[in-house]
Amino acid sequence: MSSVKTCEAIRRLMLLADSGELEAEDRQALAGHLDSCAPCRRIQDENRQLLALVRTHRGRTAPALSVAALEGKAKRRLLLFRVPMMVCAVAALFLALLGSGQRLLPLIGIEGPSAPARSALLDEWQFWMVSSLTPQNESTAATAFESEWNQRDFARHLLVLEGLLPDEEATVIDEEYPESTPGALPPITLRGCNTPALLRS
Amino acid sequence: MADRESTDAELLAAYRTGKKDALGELITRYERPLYAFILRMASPSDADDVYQETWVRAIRALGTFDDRKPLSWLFRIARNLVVDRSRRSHRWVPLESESGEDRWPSGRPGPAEQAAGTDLGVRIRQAVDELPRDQREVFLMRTEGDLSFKEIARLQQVSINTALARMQYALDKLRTKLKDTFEEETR
Repeated sequence: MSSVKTCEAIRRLMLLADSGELEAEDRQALAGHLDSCAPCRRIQDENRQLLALVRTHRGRTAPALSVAALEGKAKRRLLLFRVPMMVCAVAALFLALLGSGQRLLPLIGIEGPSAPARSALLDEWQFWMVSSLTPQNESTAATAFESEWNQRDFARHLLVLEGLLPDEEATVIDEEYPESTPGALPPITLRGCNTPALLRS
Repeated sequence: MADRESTDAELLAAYRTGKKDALGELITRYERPLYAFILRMASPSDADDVYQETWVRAIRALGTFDDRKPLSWLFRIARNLVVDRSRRSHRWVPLESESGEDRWPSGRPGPAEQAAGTDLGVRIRQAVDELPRDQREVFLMRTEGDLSFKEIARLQQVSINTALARMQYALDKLRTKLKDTFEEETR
Protein backbone atom coordinates (compact mmCIF):
# COMPACT_ATOMS: atom_id res chain seq x y z
CA MET A 1 0.00 0.00 0.00
CA SER A 2 2.99 2.24 0.49
CA SER A 3 3.46 2.82 -3.23
CA VAL A 4 -0.08 4.20 -3.69
CA LYS A 5 -0.19 7.97 -3.65
CA THR A 6 -3.64 8.93 -4.86
CA CYS A 7 -5.91 10.91 -2.53
CA GLU A 8 -8.41 8.04 -2.61
CA ALA A 9 -5.82 5.59 -1.28
CA ILE A 10 -4.57 8.11 1.24
CA ARG A 11 -8.07 8.42 2.67
CA ARG A 12 -8.06 4.69 3.41
CA LEU A 13 -4.70 5.05 5.07
CA MET A 14 -6.29 7.74 7.27
CA LEU A 15 -8.88 5.24 8.45
CA LEU A 16 -6.25 2.61 9.16
CA ALA A 17 -4.17 5.20 11.02
CA ASP A 18 -7.16 6.02 13.27
CA SER A 19 -7.74 2.34 14.04
CA GLY A 20 -4.04 1.76 14.79
CA GLU A 21 -3.61 -0.68 11.93
CA LEU A 22 -1.20 1.33 9.82
CA GLU A 23 2.34 0.11 9.34
CA ALA A 24 5.28 2.47 9.89
CA GLU A 25 6.07 2.71 6.20
CA ASP A 26 2.49 3.69 5.33
CA ARG A 27 2.40 6.14 8.22
CA GLN A 28 5.27 8.01 6.64
CA ALA A 29 3.56 8.01 3.25
CA LEU A 30 0.39 9.36 4.86
CA ALA A 31 2.21 12.12 6.74
CA GLY A 32 4.09 13.09 3.59
CA HIS A 33 0.90 13.30 1.56
CA LEU A 34 -0.99 15.29 4.18
CA ASP A 35 1.81 17.85 4.36
CA SER A 36 1.34 18.65 0.72
CA CYS A 37 -2.41 18.05 0.17
CA ALA A 38 -4.80 20.56 1.69
CA PRO A 39 -8.07 18.78 0.61
CA CYS A 40 -6.97 15.53 2.30
CA ARG A 41 -6.01 17.45 5.43
CA ARG A 42 -9.45 19.06 5.49
CA ILE A 43 -11.18 15.69 5.08
CA GLN A 44 -9.13 14.25 7.91
CA ASP A 45 -10.12 17.13 10.19
CA GLU A 46 -13.79 16.86 9.24
CA ASN A 47 -13.80 13.10 9.82
CA ARG A 48 -12.32 13.55 13.27
CA GLN A 49 -14.86 16.26 14.16
CA LEU A 50 -17.67 14.12 12.85
CA LEU A 51 -16.64 11.05 14.85
CA ALA A 52 -16.25 13.12 18.01
CA LEU A 53 -19.72 14.56 17.47
CA VAL A 54 -21.31 11.15 16.92
CA ARG A 55 -19.60 9.72 20.01
CA THR A 56 -20.83 12.54 22.23
CA HIS A 57 -24.45 12.21 21.07
CA ARG A 58 -25.32 8.62 21.74
CA GLY A 59 -28.87 7.34 22.07
CA ARG A 60 -30.54 6.03 25.17
CA THR A 61 -28.62 3.95 27.69
CA ALA A 62 -28.75 0.19 27.95
CA PRO A 63 -31.25 -1.45 30.28
CA ALA A 64 -29.76 -2.84 33.50
CA LEU A 65 -29.22 -6.58 33.29
CA SER A 66 -29.08 -8.99 36.20
CA VAL A 67 -26.56 -11.81 35.89
CA ALA A 68 -28.85 -14.18 37.81
CA ALA A 69 -31.79 -13.43 35.49
CA LEU A 70 -29.64 -13.91 32.40
CA GLU A 71 -28.28 -17.21 33.72
CA GLY A 72 -31.79 -18.40 34.58
CA LYS A 73 -32.96 -17.62 31.08
CA ALA A 74 -29.94 -19.33 29.55
CA LYS A 75 -30.57 -22.48 31.62
CA ARG A 76 -34.25 -22.59 30.69
CA ARG A 77 -33.32 -22.31 27.02
CA LEU A 78 -30.87 -25.13 27.42
CA LEU A 79 -33.63 -27.32 28.89
CA LEU A 80 -36.06 -26.35 26.16
CA PHE A 81 -33.46 -27.40 23.63
CA ARG A 82 -32.34 -30.55 25.41
CA VAL A 83 -35.75 -32.12 26.15
CA PRO A 84 -36.88 -32.35 22.49
CA MET A 85 -33.41 -33.59 21.57
CA MET A 86 -33.66 -36.34 24.19
CA VAL A 87 -37.15 -37.33 23.03
CA CYS A 88 -35.84 -37.58 19.46
CA ALA A 89 -32.87 -39.66 20.61
CA VAL A 90 -35.13 -42.07 22.53
CA ALA A 91 -37.47 -42.39 19.55
CA ALA A 92 -34.54 -43.09 17.22
CA LEU A 93 -33.18 -45.71 19.64
CA PHE A 94 -36.61 -47.36 19.87
CA LEU A 95 -36.92 -47.54 16.08
CA ALA A 96 -33.41 -48.93 15.75
CA LEU A 97 -34.17 -51.64 18.34
CA LEU A 98 -37.45 -52.45 16.63
CA GLY A 99 -35.69 -52.84 13.30
CA SER A 100 -32.94 -55.05 14.65
CA GLY A 101 -35.50 -57.00 16.73
CA GLN A 102 -37.43 -57.91 13.60
CA ARG A 103 -34.28 -59.32 12.10
CA LEU A 104 -33.68 -61.36 15.26
CA LEU A 105 -37.20 -62.85 15.37
CA PRO A 106 -36.47 -65.74 12.97
CA LEU A 107 -33.34 -66.59 14.95
CA ILE A 108 -35.40 -67.23 18.08
CA GLY A 109 -38.04 -69.20 16.19
CA ILE A 110 -40.69 -66.53 15.75
CA GLU A 111 -41.72 -65.90 12.22
CA GLY A 112 -41.72 -62.25 11.35
CA PRO A 113 -42.98 -60.68 8.17
CA SER A 114 -41.21 -62.03 5.14
CA ALA A 115 -39.30 -58.98 4.02
CA PRO A 116 -37.67 -60.48 0.90
CA ALA A 117 -41.00 -61.83 -0.34
CA ARG A 118 -42.64 -58.45 0.19
CA SER A 119 -39.80 -56.74 -1.52
CA ALA A 120 -40.05 -59.04 -4.52
CA LEU A 121 -43.79 -58.49 -4.55
CA LEU A 122 -43.36 -54.77 -4.59
CA ASP A 123 -40.84 -54.96 -7.41
CA GLU A 124 -43.14 -57.06 -9.51
CA TRP A 125 -46.14 -54.92 -8.69
CA GLN A 126 -44.23 -51.88 -9.82
CA PHE A 127 -43.27 -53.61 -13.06
CA TRP A 128 -46.85 -54.62 -13.65
CA MET A 129 -48.14 -51.12 -13.00
CA VAL A 130 -45.69 -49.71 -15.49
CA SER A 131 -46.48 -52.29 -18.13
CA SER A 132 -50.23 -51.78 -17.71
CA LEU A 133 -50.19 -48.10 -18.54
CA THR A 134 -52.46 -47.09 -21.38
CA PRO A 135 -50.51 -47.69 -24.59
CA GLN A 136 -49.81 -44.65 -26.71
CA ASN A 137 -49.55 -46.27 -30.09
CA GLU A 138 -50.69 -49.28 -32.05
CA SER A 139 -47.57 -51.30 -31.44
CA THR A 140 -47.68 -51.03 -27.66
CA ALA A 141 -51.44 -51.58 -27.74
CA ALA A 142 -50.93 -54.89 -29.49
CA THR A 143 -48.25 -55.89 -27.00
CA ALA A 144 -50.53 -55.06 -24.10
CA PHE A 145 -53.35 -57.04 -25.65
CA GLU A 146 -51.16 -60.10 -26.19
CA SER A 147 -49.88 -59.97 -22.66
CA GLU A 148 -53.30 -59.56 -21.08
CA TRP A 149 -53.59 -63.26 -20.31
CA ASN A 150 -50.47 -63.01 -18.18
CA GLN A 151 -52.08 -60.60 -15.79
CA ARG A 152 -54.33 -63.23 -14.30
CA ASP A 153 -51.37 -65.56 -13.84
CA PHE A 154 -49.50 -62.73 -12.28
CA ALA A 155 -52.29 -62.19 -9.76
CA ARG A 156 -51.99 -65.82 -8.75
CA HIS A 157 -48.27 -65.39 -8.51
CA LEU A 158 -48.79 -62.49 -6.09
CA LEU A 159 -51.00 -64.68 -3.93
CA VAL A 160 -48.34 -67.39 -3.91
CA LEU A 161 -45.70 -64.88 -2.87
CA GLU A 162 -47.93 -63.62 -0.10
CA GLY A 163 -48.28 -67.18 1.14
CA LEU A 164 -52.05 -67.18 0.56
CA LEU A 165 -51.89 -69.73 -2.18
CA PRO A 166 -49.43 -72.64 -2.21
CA ASP A 167 -47.65 -73.29 -5.48
CA GLU A 168 -49.38 -76.58 -6.10
CA GLU A 169 -52.80 -74.98 -5.63
CA ALA A 170 -52.24 -72.40 -8.29
CA THR A 171 -55.01 -73.96 -10.27
CA VAL A 172 -55.61 -72.95 -13.83
CA ILE A 173 -59.01 -71.36 -14.08
CA ASP A 174 -61.30 -72.29 -16.87
CA GLU A 175 -61.78 -68.98 -18.56
CA GLU A 176 -65.19 -69.89 -19.96
CA TYR A 177 -66.62 -71.06 -16.64
CA PRO A 178 -64.47 -69.71 -13.82
CA GLU A 179 -67.07 -70.42 -11.13
CA SER A 180 -67.22 -74.13 -12.06
CA THR A 181 -63.52 -74.78 -11.46
CA PRO A 182 -63.29 -76.61 -8.13
CA GLY A 183 -61.18 -74.84 -5.51
CA ALA A 184 -60.39 -71.90 -7.78
CA LEU A 185 -60.27 -68.38 -6.58
CA PRO A 186 -62.53 -65.91 -8.30
CA PRO A 187 -60.83 -64.42 -11.35
CA ILE A 188 -59.05 -61.12 -10.90
CA THR A 189 -60.93 -58.39 -12.70
CA LEU A 190 -58.79 -56.00 -14.68
CA ARG A 191 -59.27 -52.32 -14.32
CA GLY A 192 -60.40 -50.23 -17.25
CA CYS A 193 -57.05 -48.58 -17.65
CA ASN A 194 -55.53 -51.96 -18.54
CA THR A 195 -57.51 -52.16 -21.73
CA PRO A 196 -55.52 -50.81 -24.65
CA ALA A 197 -56.90 -47.51 -25.86
CA LEU A 198 -57.12 -48.64 -29.50
CA LEU A 199 -59.22 -51.66 -28.58
CA ARG A 200 -61.54 -49.52 -26.47
CA SER A 201 -62.26 -47.27 -29.42
CA MET B 1 -4.75 -2.72 24.59
CA ALA B 2 -2.94 -5.89 25.59
CA ASP B 3 -3.75 -5.32 29.29
CA ARG B 4 -7.41 -4.88 28.58
CA GLU B 5 -7.50 -8.05 26.48
CA SER B 6 -5.86 -10.10 29.19
CA THR B 7 -8.34 -8.68 31.71
CA ASP B 8 -11.22 -9.78 29.52
CA ALA B 9 -9.73 -13.23 29.33
CA GLU B 10 -9.28 -13.27 33.09
CA LEU B 11 -12.88 -12.22 33.64
CA LEU B 12 -14.11 -14.97 31.35
CA ALA B 13 -11.91 -17.49 33.12
CA ALA B 14 -13.16 -16.27 36.52
CA TYR B 15 -16.78 -16.60 35.42
CA ARG B 16 -16.16 -20.12 34.21
CA THR B 17 -14.88 -21.03 37.66
CA GLY B 18 -18.12 -19.79 39.21
CA LYS B 19 -17.47 -16.12 39.99
CA LYS B 20 -20.71 -14.42 38.96
CA ASP B 21 -19.34 -10.93 39.51
CA ALA B 22 -16.92 -11.41 36.66
CA LEU B 23 -19.79 -11.58 34.18
CA GLY B 24 -21.38 -8.50 35.72
CA GLU B 25 -18.13 -6.65 35.11
CA LEU B 26 -18.00 -7.79 31.51
CA ILE B 27 -21.59 -6.65 30.98
CA THR B 28 -20.79 -3.23 32.39
CA ARG B 29 -17.65 -2.96 30.31
CA TYR B 30 -19.38 -3.67 27.01
CA GLU B 31 -22.77 -2.19 27.79
CA ARG B 32 -22.26 1.09 25.96
CA PRO B 33 -20.72 -0.06 22.65
CA LEU B 34 -22.89 -3.14 22.38
CA TYR B 35 -26.15 -1.38 23.15
CA ALA B 36 -25.31 1.59 20.91
CA PHE B 37 -24.65 -0.85 18.06
CA ILE B 38 -27.88 -2.77 18.64
CA LEU B 39 -29.92 0.41 19.06
CA ARG B 40 -28.95 1.61 15.60
CA MET B 41 -29.14 -1.77 13.86
CA ALA B 42 -32.44 -3.05 15.28
CA SER B 43 -35.70 -1.19 15.68
CA PRO B 44 -35.95 0.78 18.95
CA SER B 45 -38.68 -1.54 20.21
CA ASP B 46 -36.48 -4.61 19.61
CA ALA B 47 -33.23 -3.15 20.94
CA ASP B 48 -33.72 -4.08 24.61
CA ASP B 49 -34.76 -7.64 23.74
CA VAL B 50 -31.85 -8.10 21.34
CA TYR B 51 -29.44 -6.72 23.93
CA GLN B 52 -30.66 -9.12 26.62
CA GLU B 53 -30.79 -12.03 24.19
CA THR B 54 -27.22 -11.34 23.10
CA TRP B 55 -26.03 -11.88 26.66
CA VAL B 56 -28.21 -14.96 27.16
CA ARG B 57 -26.67 -16.53 24.05
CA ALA B 58 -23.23 -15.44 25.12
CA ILE B 59 -23.69 -17.14 28.51
CA ARG B 60 -24.85 -20.33 26.83
CA ALA B 61 -21.79 -20.39 24.60
CA LEU B 62 -19.25 -19.19 27.17
CA GLY B 63 -18.06 -22.72 27.80
CA THR B 64 -16.77 -23.07 24.28
CA PHE B 65 -15.80 -19.45 23.68
CA ASP B 66 -12.11 -19.17 23.00
CA ASP B 67 -11.44 -15.69 21.76
CA ARG B 68 -9.57 -12.76 23.20
CA LYS B 69 -11.99 -10.28 21.69
CA PRO B 70 -15.26 -10.58 23.58
CA LEU B 71 -16.72 -7.44 22.04
CA SER B 72 -16.15 -8.70 18.52
CA TRP B 73 -17.85 -11.95 19.55
CA LEU B 74 -20.77 -10.09 21.16
CA PHE B 75 -21.19 -7.95 18.05
CA ARG B 76 -21.37 -11.11 15.98
CA ILE B 77 -24.10 -12.58 18.20
CA ALA B 78 -26.05 -9.29 18.14
CA ARG B 79 -25.67 -8.97 14.39
CA ASN B 80 -27.02 -12.51 13.84
CA LEU B 81 -29.94 -11.81 16.15
CA VAL B 82 -30.86 -8.65 14.29
CA VAL B 83 -30.66 -10.50 10.97
CA ASP B 84 -32.85 -13.32 12.36
CA ARG B 85 -35.45 -10.88 13.62
CA SER B 86 -35.41 -9.03 10.38
CA ARG B 87 -35.97 -12.25 8.45
CA ARG B 88 -38.77 -13.33 10.73
CA SER B 89 -40.57 -10.07 10.22
CA HIS B 90 -40.25 -10.56 6.43
CA ARG B 91 -38.22 -7.45 6.04
CA TRP B 92 -34.98 -9.18 5.21
CA VAL B 93 -32.77 -7.70 2.51
CA PRO B 94 -29.72 -9.15 0.75
CA LEU B 95 -26.54 -8.90 2.80
CA GLU B 96 -24.57 -7.27 0.03
CA SER B 97 -27.09 -4.54 -0.60
CA GLU B 98 -25.54 -1.14 -1.03
CA SER B 99 -28.69 0.78 -1.68
CA GLY B 100 -30.00 3.18 0.90
CA GLU B 101 -33.61 2.09 0.41
CA ASP B 102 -33.33 -1.63 0.93
CA ARG B 103 -31.84 -1.85 4.35
CA TRP B 104 -33.10 -3.53 7.49
CA PRO B 105 -35.57 -1.71 9.67
CA SER B 106 -33.59 1.01 11.29
CA GLY B 107 -34.06 2.58 14.66
CA ARG B 108 -35.61 5.82 13.52
CA PRO B 109 -36.68 7.92 16.47
CA GLY B 110 -40.40 8.33 16.94
CA PRO B 111 -42.06 11.61 17.95
CA ALA B 112 -41.69 10.79 21.64
CA GLU B 113 -38.00 10.05 21.24
CA GLN B 114 -37.52 13.20 19.22
CA ALA B 115 -39.14 15.23 21.93
CA ALA B 116 -37.03 13.57 24.59
CA GLY B 117 -33.70 13.76 22.77
CA THR B 118 -31.73 16.81 21.76
CA ASP B 119 -32.28 18.15 18.27
CA LEU B 120 -28.66 17.54 17.39
CA GLY B 121 -28.75 13.99 18.74
CA VAL B 122 -31.83 13.27 16.66
CA ARG B 123 -30.24 14.69 13.52
CA ILE B 124 -27.14 12.58 14.02
CA ARG B 125 -29.18 9.50 14.65
CA GLN B 126 -31.32 10.08 11.58
CA ALA B 127 -28.25 10.59 9.42
CA VAL B 128 -26.69 7.35 10.69
CA ASP B 129 -29.96 5.48 10.25
CA GLU B 130 -30.18 6.58 6.65
CA LEU B 131 -26.91 4.88 5.80
CA PRO B 132 -27.17 1.59 3.89
CA ARG B 133 -27.04 -1.33 6.33
CA ASP B 134 -23.51 -2.55 5.48
CA GLN B 135 -22.05 0.94 5.80
CA ARG B 136 -23.97 1.62 9.01
CA GLU B 137 -22.70 -1.63 10.46
CA VAL B 138 -19.05 -0.82 9.70
CA PHE B 139 -19.49 2.72 10.97
CA LEU B 140 -21.02 1.57 14.27
CA MET B 141 -18.55 -1.24 14.83
CA ARG B 142 -15.76 1.24 14.35
CA THR B 143 -17.16 4.19 16.27
CA GLU B 144 -19.04 2.38 19.04
CA GLY B 145 -17.06 -0.82 19.39
CA ASP B 146 -13.66 0.54 18.42
CA LEU B 147 -13.13 -2.64 16.43
CA SER B 148 -10.23 -2.73 14.03
CA PHE B 149 -10.96 -2.95 10.30
CA LYS B 150 -9.47 -6.42 10.34
CA GLU B 151 -12.05 -7.52 12.90
CA ILE B 152 -14.88 -5.76 11.09
CA ALA B 153 -13.90 -7.43 7.82
CA ARG B 154 -13.91 -10.81 9.58
CA LEU B 155 -17.35 -10.18 11.09
CA GLN B 156 -18.83 -9.05 7.80
CA GLN B 157 -16.98 -11.79 5.90
CA VAL B 158 -15.55 -9.33 3.41
CA SER B 159 -12.05 -8.16 2.54
CA ILE B 160 -10.44 -5.41 4.60
CA ASN B 161 -10.57 -3.16 1.51
CA THR B 162 -14.34 -3.61 1.32
CA ALA B 163 -14.69 -2.74 5.00
CA LEU B 164 -12.54 0.36 4.46
CA ALA B 165 -14.56 1.39 1.42
CA ARG B 166 -17.81 1.03 3.36
CA MET B 167 -16.47 3.20 6.16
CA GLN B 168 -15.28 5.76 3.65
CA TYR B 169 -18.70 5.93 1.96
CA ALA B 170 -20.40 6.21 5.34
CA LEU B 171 -18.14 9.08 6.39
CA ASP B 172 -18.64 10.88 3.08
CA LYS B 173 -22.42 10.72 3.43
CA LEU B 174 -22.41 11.75 7.08
CA ARG B 175 -20.02 14.62 6.42
CA THR B 176 -22.32 15.92 3.71
CA LYS B 177 -25.45 15.57 5.84
CA LEU B 178 -24.00 16.85 9.10
CA LYS B 179 -21.49 19.36 7.84
CA ASP B 180 -23.47 22.38 9.02
CA THR B 181 -24.06 20.69 12.34
CA PHE B 182 -20.50 19.96 13.27
CA GLU B 183 -19.24 23.23 11.93
CA GLU B 184 -21.67 24.99 14.29
CA GLU B 185 -20.56 22.76 17.15
CA THR B 186 -16.89 23.49 16.69
CA ARG B 187 -17.32 27.25 16.42
